[in-house]
Amino acid sequence: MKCFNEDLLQSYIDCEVPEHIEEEIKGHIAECSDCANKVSSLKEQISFLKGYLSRLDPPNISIPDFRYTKKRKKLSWVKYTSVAAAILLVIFMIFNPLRSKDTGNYVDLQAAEMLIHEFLDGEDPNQLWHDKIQINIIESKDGEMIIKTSDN
Amino acid sequence: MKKTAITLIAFFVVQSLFSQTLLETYKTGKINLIEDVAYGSGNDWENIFSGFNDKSMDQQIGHQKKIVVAPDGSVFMSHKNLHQIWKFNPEGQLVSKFGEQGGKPHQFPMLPRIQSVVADKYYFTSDVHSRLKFFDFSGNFVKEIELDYMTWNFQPLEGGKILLNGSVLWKEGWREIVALLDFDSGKERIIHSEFRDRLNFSSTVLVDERDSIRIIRADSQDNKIYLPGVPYFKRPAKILLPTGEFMIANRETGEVKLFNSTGKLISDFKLDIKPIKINEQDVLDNYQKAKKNITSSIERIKNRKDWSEKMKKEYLEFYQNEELPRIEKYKEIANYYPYLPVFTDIIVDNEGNMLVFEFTRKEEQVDNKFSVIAFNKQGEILAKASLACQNYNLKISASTFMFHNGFIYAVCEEKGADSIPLRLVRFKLQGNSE
Repeated sequence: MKCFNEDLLQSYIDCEVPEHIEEEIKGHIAECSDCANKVSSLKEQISFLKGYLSRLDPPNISIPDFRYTKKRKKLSWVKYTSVAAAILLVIFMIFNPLRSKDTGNYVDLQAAEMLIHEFLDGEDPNQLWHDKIQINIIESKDGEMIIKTSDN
Repeated sequence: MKKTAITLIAFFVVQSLFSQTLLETYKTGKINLIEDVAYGSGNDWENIFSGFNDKSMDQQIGHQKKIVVAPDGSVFMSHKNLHQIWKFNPEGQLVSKFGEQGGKPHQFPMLPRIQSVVADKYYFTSDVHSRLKFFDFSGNFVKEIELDYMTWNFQPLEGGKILLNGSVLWKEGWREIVALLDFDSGKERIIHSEFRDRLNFSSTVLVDERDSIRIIRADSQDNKIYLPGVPYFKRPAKILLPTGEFMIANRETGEVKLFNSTGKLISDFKLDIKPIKINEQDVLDNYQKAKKNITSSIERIKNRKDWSEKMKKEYLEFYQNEELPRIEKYKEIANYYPYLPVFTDIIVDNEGNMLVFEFTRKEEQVDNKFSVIAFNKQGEILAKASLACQNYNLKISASTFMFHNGFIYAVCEEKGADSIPLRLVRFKLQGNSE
């Protein structure tokens, strides 16, 4: 997966991206230190700016959320149809009777599963058996995941 | 004339001494791996592998390497803690280091894994985002191909083709893929795909002053305890052959399916191997190890001076109220799947023999002795042997244990080394009769 540009990362921080893009970015920054650094740097900038404004503002002025204003465009019938189809799809995904039991946020767990398989790819299972190694994954709030084996 | 005849006789005598095939060596039953002491003898290994104890990812990763051997005997090595590829010449000397972290074509945005050599002149790497980067043997960037799924193993074929296997996680399961990639055109064609179950995860969220973390554990769908761990147990082995054929082997049942180069199933058989049965002692060992891990974590947390009392309390409650009760089921043999997997790994040697490595009990693995069975593609046992190495601790994995021209190249640890034990070693296989 390619790295995301700064505009998109900013929108992600501002919670302005659709959920599936948000999950994609979360998964990506768990793997990509460049993008993870960009996200934390952007967060720092916002935090600094908010802190700075809060010192300037009198109590009766509220600090606005840092969000891009979206321009309203006139939607064509094609777009209306696409939006309707997307809504129906989301409804279907939520109430899909074929869906298996909920295991939480599966996009996060996808990254966990990938990480485990990558870890196992260079390991000698006989050694894992002798050492009775157990594998856990630790995930931080910003989506960074690391393997933690029972011996460290 | 006389001199020529003597030379010829001497040549044929030497040839016959060294012409024993690998299969004939396996048939001797006991194989010793004899180190080629001249190989890499000029290297300062402790300096080369000075990052051996690197724990920057919260686990030791400095020892995790992957190697491939080029047709001329050069070895290329990748690392889990460096955005570099190292090249060792055919004599085993470290001669160059290529690559750096970055987003340019010749750089690595993610940690690269060395994969194979294609068209006898390019080595290539992959990363977690399936970027395949091709370089010539001097480290010059040649091209990049990006695939849509995570890739695992590669087998170069004739004509610049590469057989590969990968997987992509769908919501309901893993889609396992075998594909044929053309180096020149960069086009890839999936020749086989099948689905398998996902893992079952449980997780706990802990909150501290700085952030929150989630601890994730993989469980089996049937709630049984699998040794050495359910993720490994449920993962099929894919064996890609130089002929373009491939095999998919089930670690749980020992069933092997052989497919031809177009992805058509041509035969299936079951490996005639009896897996090790879990006994009460294994159960007790597993429980005690798990308990020891938890109690030492508790002690570590209690002694942390950089954590607040609130944070310590949260973590201690997790270990005492959740982790200790969770492992109680480790005490009962009835909660375990009764067997180990049928094999640890399957490696194809340079003569095309399929070497199936068995699990061994720790007490049986004296002198680093591994039990190996050579099979042919029809599943017939060709030879059974034990593979022993006295001076090194071997790690049997297709990433660190490579056959080339009758030798084994291995990344392994020297027994009794003063400080850093990691070495790249070339072994000769010596059968019992030699």
